[in-house]
Amino acid sequence: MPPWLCFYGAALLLAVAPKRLQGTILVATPLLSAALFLTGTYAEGMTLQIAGRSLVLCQVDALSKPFLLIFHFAALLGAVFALHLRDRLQHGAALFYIGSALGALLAGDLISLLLFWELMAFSSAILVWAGRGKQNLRTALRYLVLQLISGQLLLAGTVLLIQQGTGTGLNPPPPDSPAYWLLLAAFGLKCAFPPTHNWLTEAYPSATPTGTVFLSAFTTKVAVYALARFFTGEELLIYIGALMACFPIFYAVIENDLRRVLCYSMINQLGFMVCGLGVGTALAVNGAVAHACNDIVFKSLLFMSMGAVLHVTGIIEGSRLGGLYRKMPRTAALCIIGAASISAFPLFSGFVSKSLIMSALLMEGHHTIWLVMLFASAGVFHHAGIKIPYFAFFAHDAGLKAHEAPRNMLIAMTLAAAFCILIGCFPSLLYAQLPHEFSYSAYDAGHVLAQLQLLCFSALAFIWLNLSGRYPPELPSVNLDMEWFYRSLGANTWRRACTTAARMAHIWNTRCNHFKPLLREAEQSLLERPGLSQAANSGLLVYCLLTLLTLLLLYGYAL
Amino acid sequence: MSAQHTPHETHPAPRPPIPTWLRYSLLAFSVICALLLLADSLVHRHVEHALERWWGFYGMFGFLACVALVEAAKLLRHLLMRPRNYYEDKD
Repeated sequence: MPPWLCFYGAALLLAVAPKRLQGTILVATPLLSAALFLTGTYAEGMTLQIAGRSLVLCQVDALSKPFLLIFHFAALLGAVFALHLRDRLQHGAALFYIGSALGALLAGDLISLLLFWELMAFSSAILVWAGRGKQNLRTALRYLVLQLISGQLLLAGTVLLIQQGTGTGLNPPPPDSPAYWLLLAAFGLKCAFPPTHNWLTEAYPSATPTGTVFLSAFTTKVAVYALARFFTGEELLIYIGALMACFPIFYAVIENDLRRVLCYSMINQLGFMVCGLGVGTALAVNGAVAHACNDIVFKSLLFMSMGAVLHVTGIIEGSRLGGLYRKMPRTAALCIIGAASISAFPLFSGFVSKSLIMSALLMEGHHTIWLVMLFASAGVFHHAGIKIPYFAFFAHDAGLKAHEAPRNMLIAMTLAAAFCILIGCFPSLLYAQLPHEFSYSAYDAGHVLAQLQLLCFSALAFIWLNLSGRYPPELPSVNLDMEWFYRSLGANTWRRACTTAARMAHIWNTRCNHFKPLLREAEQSLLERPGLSQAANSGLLVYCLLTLLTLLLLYGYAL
Repeated sequence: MSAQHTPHETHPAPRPPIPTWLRYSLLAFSVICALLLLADSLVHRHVEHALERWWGFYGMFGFLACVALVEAAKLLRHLLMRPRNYYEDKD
């Protein structure tokens, strides 16, 4: 049975299973699927014939294998972390989402990839909405719109490839063909390339504490896998990666919502991976894949620790948190391990994968980009390594009522922390799973000393800035980003257009009694029309996108 | 920028004095940093880039990068910061 089917089956089972069995199903599914995968009984080469095309639904190779392994581990972490929760919808959506992510990795042709790509978008949107508030619905719909746009770009690219007679195999599309750019845009949108990155920074912090852990692990890493599959060695990716690694760290310093800080740091880490894929040598691609695997775990750990803080205190803003280390010492310690890993401290997992990318950049002569990435490395330590633990657990004592996180959360965090240290101490365990044969020693004196100097002096800068009062205080605020264009500018323009249309309707209405009832209705509906960012309009946009998607799909099959 | 966009600056509480244990820890950390700089002269490093030959390059880069990052982010705040409910008012 292919792993994705395992998860889909479990999601269906969960819908009818008694409440007390929900936790068991949630945890048993990744374990069962991993057992099937590791023992090789996963229906390799499974195909499905539809409309004269054969869809390859289960195919494993050297590139997808490390992702598959780590996805199972991430699924287990997320499941254990969510074990205290009794929510059929959330658990079911999570299982369906993981299944779709695994399906995207296992897909052996573009149409199957597209299928799982879209299923992943819908199931993850349910996870974003799972808080069930009005605001959650709006965020989820905006998120879904962007995910569907990514799907449509992928579909359009696939259709063009079929038309060109290139076929739907997982081969890089011919460079400079429209399909090439469509596919790059589709994967780039899911990988949070700027300026489309705000779906990530908006949706993940508004999901539930447990939902974010699942969300953070899969969508963007599937995009990294797809980029590795189709666009390894594309030079443009080096520059996009450098931009992704750099600009979010400025936002992370001034951001108040600590889960949003983690989202910005996630874009920063994705930048390292994208840059590695752009370099395209065996060392760089291995670095990108290794970093993706490590990032899934340490980012899950950080999201889990912040999720635990949110679960216990109900607060996630840096300006209102502080001093929790007395009440949540274990969570604090585990968060620090995650912070050390993302900062690439020697003996922690980030170090052994980020070094590969940095070395590859130097070896291929990308010296300026290397300096930019070094800046990003210092920056990530500053905001994710120090800021997150400092403002949540130390800083001033906010006097919050709190207690240690529930046991299942602690177990999940401990598992993730153990992985971070294990891989950090024994990198060969990870290196053995990477797609290309290579030899690399992360632990030579030069590397270790350089990294320690970089990090310790960054910490010194933080201490100095803090003691001298130069560090910006955490303030309850939002910072404008690209989302402003659709949440503010777009909304205002839409509102103005509606008001103008209503006025025109009113003028017409007064002149032409014949259409009075009809026009009054139209006028009323235009005046009542909410802004672009409201649920009704986002919903309308989703319907439009879905219709377009269906039409494109029909067109694709008609060819 | 209209008045409603002006961020609500709140002044941070006066800083409490630094406890002795923290003072000593910071001193110890500074010593570690100094030792790391000294190690630069002792450890032979395989360098790929000319800048890496500079004594204490990584340390200085890390320090300056972080100070520049924070100062730039503070400037960005003037440009980008809005009240907490900025988008909620529009939704």
